[in-house]
Amino acid sequence: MKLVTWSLATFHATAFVLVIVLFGYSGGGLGGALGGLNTFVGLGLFLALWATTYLTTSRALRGLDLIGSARDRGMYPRRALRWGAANGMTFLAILGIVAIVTAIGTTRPGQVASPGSCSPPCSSCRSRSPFRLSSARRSARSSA
Amino acid sequence: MEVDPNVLHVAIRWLHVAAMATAFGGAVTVLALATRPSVASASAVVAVAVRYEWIFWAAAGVLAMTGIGNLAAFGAALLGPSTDWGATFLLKLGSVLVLVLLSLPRTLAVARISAAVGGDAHGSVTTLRNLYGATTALFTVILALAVWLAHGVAG
Repeated sequence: MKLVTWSLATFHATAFVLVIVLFGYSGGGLGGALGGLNTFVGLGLFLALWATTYLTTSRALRGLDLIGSARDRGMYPRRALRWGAANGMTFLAILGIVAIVTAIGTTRPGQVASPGSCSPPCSSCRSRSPFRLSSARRSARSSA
Repeated sequence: MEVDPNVLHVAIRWLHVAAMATAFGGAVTVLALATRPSVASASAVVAVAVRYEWIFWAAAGVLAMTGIGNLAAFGAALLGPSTDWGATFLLKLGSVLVLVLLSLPRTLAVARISAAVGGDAHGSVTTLRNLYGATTALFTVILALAVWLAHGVAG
């Protein structure tokens, strides 16, 4: 592990999160958004971002000497772009996996509805259910 | 196993304060060493600065992570940016961002000094004194804002 890699990776992860929090808070609604997030999931997501940023930064810096060589410094932006994109896609995939696992974990068996099972019927059930309400009955219901 | 949310929030807050103490205390230590070094200890000051940079970035990551955890503990009760507390919090966040942005060039400068040490070690210590003086000053501002946020009057 090199100091330049460690500092650059942590700088990227930390600055990214700080900017999001800064804009999120000044726009309002950050408290509600964070309040709905499980603490362990939040800490885990930051650690995942930190880890993926470290791995991609170390790949971007592999074989380069940013301190001692001007030529290597010139090569860095292109590599940073490529590995930064890889980092973004990796973290997005992790976010997607976490969202799916959380959704599965928090869904009760009874919550999985089949068409026509809602009471009163929702718009989706009305349109997809074989026991669809006739337009005459629907208008009679709405007028009542 | 269910974790008591209060215990979790206290643990996160403890980690946040411990990371801040480590980062701030380390900056003060390097500044103190760089303020009155003897010629013989100049390379030792550079070595301590390099070690501090490793610790600083670890602390910065932990501070960002636990800082968000502290915010999440407020939930929907988090005061808005239009309040006094919110304005101070925005000022603190901005100061932290400035500290992080300025710390990267400082780390690179320390790495460069460390790679070239043996030449003008005494001149390098003067550079370190200026760098860590600025870092300590910024940390002091952030700490003052944090104390106000924790113990000041919310409104």
